[in-house]
This record gives sequence, C-alpha cells and structure tokens, in this order.
Amino acid sequence: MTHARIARQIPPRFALDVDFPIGPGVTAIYGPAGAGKTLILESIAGFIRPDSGRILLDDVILFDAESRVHVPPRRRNIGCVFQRDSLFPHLTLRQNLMFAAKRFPRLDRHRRVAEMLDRLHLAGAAASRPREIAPAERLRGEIARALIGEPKLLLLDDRAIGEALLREIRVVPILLVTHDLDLCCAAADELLILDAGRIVQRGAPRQVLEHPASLEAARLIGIPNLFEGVIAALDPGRDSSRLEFGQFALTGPYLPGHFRGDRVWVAVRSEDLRVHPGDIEPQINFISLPLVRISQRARSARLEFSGGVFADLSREEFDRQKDNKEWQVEFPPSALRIL
Amino acid sequence: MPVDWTPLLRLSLDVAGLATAISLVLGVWLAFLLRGRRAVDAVLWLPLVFPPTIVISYFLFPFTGRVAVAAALVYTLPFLLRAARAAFQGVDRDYLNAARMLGASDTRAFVRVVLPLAWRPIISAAAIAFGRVLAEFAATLWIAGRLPVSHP
Repeated sequence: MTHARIARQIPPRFALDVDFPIGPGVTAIYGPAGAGKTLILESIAGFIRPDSGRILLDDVILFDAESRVHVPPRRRNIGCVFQRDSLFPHLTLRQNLMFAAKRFPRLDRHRRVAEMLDRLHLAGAAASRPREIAPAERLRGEIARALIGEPKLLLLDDRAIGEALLREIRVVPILLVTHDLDLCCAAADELLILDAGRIVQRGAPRQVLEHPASLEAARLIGIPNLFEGVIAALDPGRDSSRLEFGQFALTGPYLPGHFRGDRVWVAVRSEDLRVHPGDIEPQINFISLPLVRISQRARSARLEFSGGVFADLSREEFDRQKDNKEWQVEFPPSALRIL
Repeated sequence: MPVDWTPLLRLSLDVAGLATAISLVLGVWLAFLLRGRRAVDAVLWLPLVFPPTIVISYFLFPFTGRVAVAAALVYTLPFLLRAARAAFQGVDRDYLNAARMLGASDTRAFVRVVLPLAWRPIISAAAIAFGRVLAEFAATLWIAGRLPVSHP
C-alpha cells in the first residue's frame, strides 16, 4: 500500500493537510498556484519534513511523525522530475543516466542505460550535453534518468508531458502535478483537486469533472456558470424541480435530499449550454439573454451573455448562428449540477 | 648599485603559490564540511580585518619561508573558504536534490555534481588570492628584505 498523510504549517497563513492513497496507475494533482502541490511532492521525496502524518511506500514507512522516522531522500527509491530542468549540465545524457545507475554492477549498468535510452527514443542524443538537446528530449532524458534506478514511485512536477509519453512510462506508479485537465482525463486514473492545502475532491477524473462536489471544486475545474438559487418546487412524481435565480427560473431534475426553499448552487458546464436564435418558439429552459461578448477559441467560440452566462459553441454551430440578432440560451435539465 | 631581485621574486612566487594551493584544497574541503552552517560566515571575516603587518608580526620568530606561507594562509584560507561557500550556494538546489534522489551520498553528489558546477568562481577567487599574497609586500620584506624596517 502506498499512502500519504501529510500536515505541515507554513507561517503565517498556509497549512497543508492532505490524506490520500496512491494507486498503481497515474494519480494527478490539480490545483491553482500556491495550493501546495509541490509541497506534497517535496514531502514524499523527503526534502521537507512534515509536522505530522505518515508516508508509506509499498508498506515501507518513509516518514512517521510519531516514531520520528524520516528516511533520507537517497534511500527512498523514488524517481523525481522537478519543475525545472535538472539534468546535470556538465554531463552528457548518457553520463547523467550512468550517474543514476551507480548501484548496479558495471556491466549491467551499461546495458541498462542503453536499454533505457532506446526505450525513450534518446539513443541519438546520448552523447550530447543537456543544453544541446531540445526541451522535449530533455524531459524524456530526465524521466529516463529517474526511471533507471527502478523506483517504486515517480513524481512529476508540472512538466509539459504529453499523453503518449505518460502512457509509455505508466508501468511505474506516478504522482503527477499538472494544470492540464485534458491530460488528467486521458491518462490519469485518479484526480485530486487541491486548494489552499486541502483536497477539495478526489476520484476518477471523469467522475470529478462531471460531478463536482462543491462550489470550490466546480470553480477550480473551470466551470464558468455558477448560480445560487432557491428551490421553488419539487415533484418526485414527474422527476422535476423548479429553481429560481435572480433573473430567471429553470426546470431541473428531481433533487433527492433537498427541500423546497433550500438555497443551492447550480453549476452548468459552458459546453452543455445550447443557444438558439431569438425568433424561434421557446421551449423548456429557454432563456432570452442579451449577448455581451464573443471570444474566439482554438476549437470553439465562447459566448458571454449578461448575468454571467457562458456558452461554448463548436465552430460550425457558431458559424450557423453568428448572425442572430436575439439569442435564447437553453439550459438542458440534465446539464444542471446541484452542488 | 644594481640589485639582484631574483631571490626576492622567487620567494614571493613560492610563498604565494604554496599558500594559494593549500588554501584552495583546504578551503574547498572545509566549505564542503561546513555546508549549511550559517554561523561560520561571521567568523570568516575576522582575519581579513587585521592589518597584514600585525598578522605577520605574530609569525616573526623563526624567519623562514614556511612561516611566510603560514602568514599568507591567514588571508587566503578564509578568502577561498568564503568564495567556495558562495560558489556552492550558487549551484541550483535542484541539481543537488536530483543527485540525492538518484541515490547519491552527500560526498558523491558534491564531487560529481556540485564541484564541477561551481569550480569557475572558485578558481577566479584563487587567482585573486594569489595576486593579493604576491602583492603583499610586508610579508616578503620581513623575511627576506634587507631594508631597514620598523613596526609598531
């Protein structure tokens, strides 16, 4: 079992307090700057000593505050790729790997280094110094160097790692700090949303993104449509509810566990909203709203309506509707997430 | 009256060279041993604030080149120790941490990573130390000089 329970105060204001298991696949940590992501990695690597808690790696205690166990970093058998390039600049790539392969017998060492260079497609760059290599290759080089000692866990601190590369190396359990939710969905098995030193939500990436558990979580994963409203009606028979917000009211699915009059937060992802021209017959949850601004994205267009309503349209949908004079925004009932 | 300066020049070069070499080795080694101890910094300034003449007069009694080297060391050793400490602190901690994560002992990390990355400023500090001892007229004068000298 691999598990980390870490608490650490950093005066004056910051306090890290997390408790999570690390599974065999990829565990991703996502959160804003200053949330404590790097601090978690540094605690697991052993560069800092938490105030309390316990860190287990494959049932070996690396740190335990009560019994004052603190295994030094070099004995932890953890691979680490830092936020900044840290291939030794005065050594060639091959020498960097040889440095890391020290504990194997001499002949074995050469074989392992050659194999690892091959595995990460670095054979061509083996004789070059880090500064002569492209950044993407340097990252692969660093990963190769971290993996050559056969670590039990690989820490990756917020590097621009591609999905393909991540899949290639995921034979080792990986703890990944990232800002890339697409990458989390594509290649991570578990996603931790971290904010101000605490885990806001934890679970399978799709699950977390589909069902944010709190307002904080919804904000952190970038859902722009967040409205506070009151439950005006609940009808379990028809599986429906009526939610009233300041400027408009919506029909949603039945909300078990809530009562009429409850104040709730509702999150709607911008890509779940649909827009229609103003002159068609309004249907369920069609709201007429004035358009404030259009911002073009790489693969979509984001429409901002008054009242802080954001809708992402595909390019072709946008092209079809860009000449609308009036707009209606449709909130599909199934898209409403009650927090 | 022509004066033969050769022995004096030789003595100066010998003393400066030897003092620099010794303090280079010793300074780097001590800087490694004392890594991470900040209190050391203040103490290291001390010898540098004494006027050279005073320091050398402590070493007056047996008038040999060896004593001159010892006197010169009072200056060069703290100077190089400081320079080495500063150079080691200038090496990005990520490199040291990376070496530790890769299983290297402190000594191995130092010899294979920190020292190769920090030697440039240390060598230039050694050159300055050498120049300073060479130009340190007082020491040589005390030992080899025939000029009438007075000291407090």
